[in-house]
Amino acid sequence: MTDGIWALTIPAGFRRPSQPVGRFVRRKGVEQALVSRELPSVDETAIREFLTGAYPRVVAAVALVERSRATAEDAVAEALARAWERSERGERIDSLPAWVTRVALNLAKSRLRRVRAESRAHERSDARWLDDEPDGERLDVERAMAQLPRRQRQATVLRYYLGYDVAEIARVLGVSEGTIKTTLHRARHTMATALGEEE
Amino acid sequence: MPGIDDRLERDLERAARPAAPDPGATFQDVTRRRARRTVVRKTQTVALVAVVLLGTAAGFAVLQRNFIGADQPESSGSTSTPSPSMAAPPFAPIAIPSDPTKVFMVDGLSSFPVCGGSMIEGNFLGTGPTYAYVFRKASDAGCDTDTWTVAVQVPSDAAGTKMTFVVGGPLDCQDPSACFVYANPDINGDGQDEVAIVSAQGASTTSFELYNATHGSQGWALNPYTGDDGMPLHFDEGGSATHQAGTYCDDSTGLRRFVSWEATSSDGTTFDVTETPYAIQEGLTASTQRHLTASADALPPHDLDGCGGSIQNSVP
Repeated sequence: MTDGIWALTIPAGFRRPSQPVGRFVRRKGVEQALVSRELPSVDETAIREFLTGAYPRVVAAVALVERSRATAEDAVAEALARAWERSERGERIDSLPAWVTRVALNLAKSRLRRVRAESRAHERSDARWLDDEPDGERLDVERAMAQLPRRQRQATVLRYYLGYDVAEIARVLGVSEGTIKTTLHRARHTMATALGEEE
Repeated sequence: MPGIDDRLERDLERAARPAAPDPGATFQDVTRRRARRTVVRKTQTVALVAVVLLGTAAGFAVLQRNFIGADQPESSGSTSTPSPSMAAPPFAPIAIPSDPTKVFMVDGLSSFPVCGGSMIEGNFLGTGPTYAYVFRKASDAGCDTDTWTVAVQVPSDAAGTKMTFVVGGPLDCQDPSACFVYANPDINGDGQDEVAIVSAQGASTTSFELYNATHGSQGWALNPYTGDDGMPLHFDEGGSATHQAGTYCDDSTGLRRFVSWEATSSDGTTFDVTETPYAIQEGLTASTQRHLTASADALPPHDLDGCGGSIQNSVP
């Protein structure tokens, strides 16, 4: 929080809780997503700082939702380019990580984008979805996640991987907090059943 | 509650395994994408401006055309058709029932049925032969209205393969038995025939009026030659032993004149003739009348003599 990259100001209407939300402790990348830079909004420096900071987690989050790292990398890169271009046109982006996450999640839904990204990745042979050795528990959570509708996957990843609270998830996904609470409740129920856990 | 929450937090962290980023390569990728988006956006802007300008120009042209059209004299009937420079197609005439009381529909003419039709052929558009008609509007009860109209077949498409009508009127016909299309004279000598329509018929005199087809910004229009009062001019042909009337065209001065005359006689041998010559400009303008005396066998020409065309219907 004090690394000087991101200012500590919170944009109007963007509440930052003083206490951890529930049991979730914010991670550094998430903190970055919740604050905004002072002027300028997005420039080359901000892009480079994002790439060395929040980028891996945002890509991983999108990849968890879409189950394709190639698609996630493509969507995040495109979202960054759009953020840069919009900023050049005078539009202000208060929180680059949150903005990129939201736009990348939307872009990644495109079937055409998925096909193109995975085709390029296949040519490079360097970007498969979770291409490490099999891991029993990890495969269990992948299978459980696959049972969720996309919106529930998005909310689950934002909540449990990026550590967003309900208000932040609602802001990123562009729906009401009530909808997010319902979405998360259903997702937790499905995941608990699939993983044999108690809710 | 903690069970599933902890499990999800832990497992998703393990499943995600963020790959080690290559900031340099990714930055180049983002830069390339931004450049491409900038080019696309500028291209779209140029295209949008071009579309707006073209649309504005087209809209201006349409409005200009419409407002120019609004300056033209109001016509009793018009239809949007190709310009007269196009060769007229050899339209087949529509079939008119021999029974003048039979009610029928004419495709392209109107939404109401007609009856009492008559037809002549002429070069009414200046592009070749076509047909002119007079119809009586029919009602649900049959052929019983006093509304008459004149119509000329015109092409409705640039290829000249489709046909429609330009309509004029309503005609001032009082007697259903004496309202019919009469002749195809070229009154003004411009190579385009006018439509002569009988609107009244006495015991020995036929009264007709003239309609002229013109092409303007709104398409074809069919309007009568009118007098100073704005009403259609009427001309008489025929007569009796003591009263004669006629019309003719005079090219003797090198300038076409249309002449209407009337002659009266007390003895049937010597007539007092009054000629009304009409100067031909946009329409017909009556000039100073001329009075003369003529014997019965030396009356002025009649039956649209010298005007071209022919009298094709003398009875309905």
